[in-house]
Amino acid sequence: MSTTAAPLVQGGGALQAQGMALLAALHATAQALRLYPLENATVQKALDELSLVASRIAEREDGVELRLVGDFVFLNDARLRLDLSNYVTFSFLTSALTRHGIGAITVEKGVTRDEWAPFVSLLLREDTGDGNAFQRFQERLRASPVRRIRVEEEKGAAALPRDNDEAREAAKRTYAQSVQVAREVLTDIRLGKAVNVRRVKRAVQAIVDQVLTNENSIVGMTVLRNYDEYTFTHSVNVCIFSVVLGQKLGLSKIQLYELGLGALFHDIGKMRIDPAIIGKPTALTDEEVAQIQEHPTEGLLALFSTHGLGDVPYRAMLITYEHHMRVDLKGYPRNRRPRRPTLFSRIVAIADAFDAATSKRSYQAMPWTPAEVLREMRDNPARGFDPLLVKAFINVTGVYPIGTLAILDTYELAVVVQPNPDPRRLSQPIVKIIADPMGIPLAQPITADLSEIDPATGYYRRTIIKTTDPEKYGINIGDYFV
Amino acid sequence: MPVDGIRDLTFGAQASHPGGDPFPAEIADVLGTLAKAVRAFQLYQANNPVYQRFVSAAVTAFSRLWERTPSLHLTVEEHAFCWGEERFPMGEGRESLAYQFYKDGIRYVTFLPGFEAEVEKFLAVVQRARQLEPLGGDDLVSLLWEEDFVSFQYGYVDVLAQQLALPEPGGVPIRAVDRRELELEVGAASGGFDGAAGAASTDALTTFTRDDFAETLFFLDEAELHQLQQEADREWHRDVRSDVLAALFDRLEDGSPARQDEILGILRQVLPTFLSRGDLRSAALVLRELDTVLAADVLGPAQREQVERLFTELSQPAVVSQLIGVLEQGTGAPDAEELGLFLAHLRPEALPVLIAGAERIPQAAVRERLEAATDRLAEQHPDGLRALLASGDPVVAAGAARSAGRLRLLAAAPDLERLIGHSETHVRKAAVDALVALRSSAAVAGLERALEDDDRDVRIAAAKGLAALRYQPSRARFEQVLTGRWLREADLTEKIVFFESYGTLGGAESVRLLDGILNGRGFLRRRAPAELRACAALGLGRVNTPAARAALERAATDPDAVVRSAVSRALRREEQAS
Repeated sequence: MSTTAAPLVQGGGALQAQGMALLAALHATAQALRLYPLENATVQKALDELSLVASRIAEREDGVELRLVGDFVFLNDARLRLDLSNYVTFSFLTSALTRHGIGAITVEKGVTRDEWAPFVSLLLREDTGDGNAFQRFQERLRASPVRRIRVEEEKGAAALPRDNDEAREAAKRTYAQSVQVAREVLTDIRLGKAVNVRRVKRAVQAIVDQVLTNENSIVGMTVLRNYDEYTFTHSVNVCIFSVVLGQKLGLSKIQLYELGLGALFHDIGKMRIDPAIIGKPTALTDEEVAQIQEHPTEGLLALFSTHGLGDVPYRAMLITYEHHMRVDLKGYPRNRRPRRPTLFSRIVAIADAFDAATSKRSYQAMPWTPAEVLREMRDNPARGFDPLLVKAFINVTGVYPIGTLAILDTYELAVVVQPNPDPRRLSQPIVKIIADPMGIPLAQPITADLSEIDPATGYYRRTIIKTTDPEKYGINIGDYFV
Repeated sequence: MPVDGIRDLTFGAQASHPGGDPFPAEIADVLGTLAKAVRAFQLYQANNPVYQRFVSAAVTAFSRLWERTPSLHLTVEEHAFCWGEERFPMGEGRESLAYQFYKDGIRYVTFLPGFEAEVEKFLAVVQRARQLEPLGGDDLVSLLWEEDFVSFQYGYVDVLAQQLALPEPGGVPIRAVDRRELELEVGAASGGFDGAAGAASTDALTTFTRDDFAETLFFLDEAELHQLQQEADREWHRDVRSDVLAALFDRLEDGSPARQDEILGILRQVLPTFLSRGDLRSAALVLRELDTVLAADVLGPAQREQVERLFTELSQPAVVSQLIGVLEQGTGAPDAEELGLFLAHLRPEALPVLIAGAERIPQAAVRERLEAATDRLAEQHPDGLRALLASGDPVVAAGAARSAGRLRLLAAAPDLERLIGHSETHVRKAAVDALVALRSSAAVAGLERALEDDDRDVRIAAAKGLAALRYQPSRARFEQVLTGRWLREADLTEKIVFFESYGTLGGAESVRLLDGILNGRGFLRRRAPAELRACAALGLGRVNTPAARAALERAATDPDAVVRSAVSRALRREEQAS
């Protein structure tokens, strides 16, 4: 299949902006109610704003649903973006909903201003009882004059909007274009030609858009290990993982772009190293290792000599230069002046190591499994990764990252397709079961949430007992993501 | 957003509209006002009423439109926007709004309610896009992306990405897996972890249980997330250029000659870039580090020569004058400290331009930095400064004189004296000021000469300067002036300065002359003019001796009010001084 001239749609964060406004209004009302009596002008003003914002969305969207899924908040189908300007409002909503066991708030058209004050007051109440907090909240809500605001119980991962064909197609297109751009750019660098910066920008912007709207689909593309040459796919994969981690930290769109740009260019210096050494399948000599270790410096210099300074931000240069430096500065290149690798460099270092270790390369016939890499990053401080960022990365990928092949306790074979959005269930991803307990491949893989409990037994229906090498069973993991 | 998403927002091609025929006219109106606003943005400042009127018209037009439709979806042709079958030509030229969208690949645009609040942002993006370099890194699509519009959507095609092969499943079905094979793998792995000797097999490594990753260990709590977010925020606002430069200098110090050449080439590139952007801190950092590297003696001879050449080139008048030009225009408004850091690394070649700049720059803080840089270089190269005192450029000559004064460069006294004969008043004045600043008898001849200067200010400065020096031999020269004819024709201020200076300089020796003017009588027992007597009184006020006081007291009841007033002022001053 090939892409057509179908336009890529960009811009228009209307629902996003409305969602942010709604969260801000909810938070402001809660704050006002916490401090002042209902009659107070501040409370009244906050209620006016909340009522106006909610009614406007309800009218335009034919209703409002605010849904909490793990760390994420969805307004109708749009996942609201957490950033530094709004994390307090996110935090208020997620803690209030979690406290009462609420998974979603639904607001019907025609909701009146008078319904908001009792509803927000109920959200603010501490829940002190034992047992089902949600039931107690429901009872209190029924007893209140609130009629057009309803709540649903928390459902965990089941509530997560599923990957769909449309999203997958968009992710495929973005991925394919990005790999092509990476190929062009890296080849141009090798040949000493001018780089088409505009295309690079568009590619990175598209990846950022995909991560913000369609994260699982684009992350799924990173398992296409055999899709193209390693160097190019690796650059794109590192870009994707970095942006995903950056998003977890609440970086803005522009910040994610700069992070992604640096990530895409992180190995650009290898284009100035002898390809015979880069692709050498056997052990490298000391001299060759020394040459390889020059690639961050070569990358820095390449970015200077290939671009006008206006085209490549300094942050990207630092990412290229520092991504092997390690937090203890014992990596390379060595420093003669004081330095602390930037946060962006430390993010890319993790993304780079993760993708490199899980990929098959000329000198790595047997890639590590994703879970194995995470454990190494976590447990081996000599690797020099930022421990807090590793933790954040595992929060993003889950203990079993996307693309992991797992043997379940049912002896079904399953591919991890999505981390569990509930950060408390990092080791219970969403999987596609590809072979039944007898080892028979399923014509139509079954999607299963490993955090699902069998009501009959009270135990989890399925649990991963082992991760394994897909090649051992002739499985091309990428096939389950395209 | 997925490609098909655009259909959800489409109102136009397929949608009916309640208003019937008038609707295209309204769209034409909206597009017309928008195009005019784009033009107005190009021509006028944001506070210009004409611009504001056009923006207001566009806002009104969109607001009216939203009463008829929830959105406006248009396809983009090379020179027109289309709404269904209706075509709205936007002109044929490159300035056409439709063309601007079309050439960058945009094929659909959708305006949504709320766009009114984003009109000006939209106009700014369109304008920025028009000013882009044809082969630069940006185009309209990337600029629109950065602005993250809420009520404006666009769909674009990437021509180069067409016919691109997308990843597809391999089509090879997986083989059936023998259950026993799986059991064996799980069992073997379990055995490994149970402590089987030498169990460091790949299987063992790839076996995980939930205990390996207890979730509680990985729950990123709010405080940790907040910590990372704060760090991200700090880092975003930090200038990372110094880190990049530090990297370059690290590698310059330990690199091969070829790499050193490359890095020096980069530094030659970045310096003018920093300067053109007014980033003097980074430019100063480069120069400081280059100085450090030179001192560390880690460069090869050829590379060392390159660095020396760079410093020299950077200090060339043609280069420094560009910086001064920017400073004079006030467009860069550099931080004075940063400017100082940068200037500290210039070589003597920069001296004349720095001097001239310091003379012309109106901002005091910037001027101070330029003067400091001038003085630093002049101190290191006094002969160079003395040569500049003879400069044909009066601005340079005056500035050099001031620098010589600040530095108290005694060797420059003869050069400064020569400047007393300069044709330009401000040069003579600067020379006098400098001579005064020398605080040396070497300056006296020049200052005495300046007492007869054509310019009042120069004369006044010279008189004050000589008074400050208290150089007694100059008393005779003052007496000539005080009793001469031209001082009587001078204005009151100048007279006062001369008399006070004489009193200060002459001390007790000046009483006789001053008393004579104040209290004495001349031909036909006529007194000197009241104004002159008053000035003599003020001169006596500077002497501070009993004789001077007695002379003043004798005139305390003078019938002339002007004289009386001056006498009491002088007595008051004397009292304060004693």
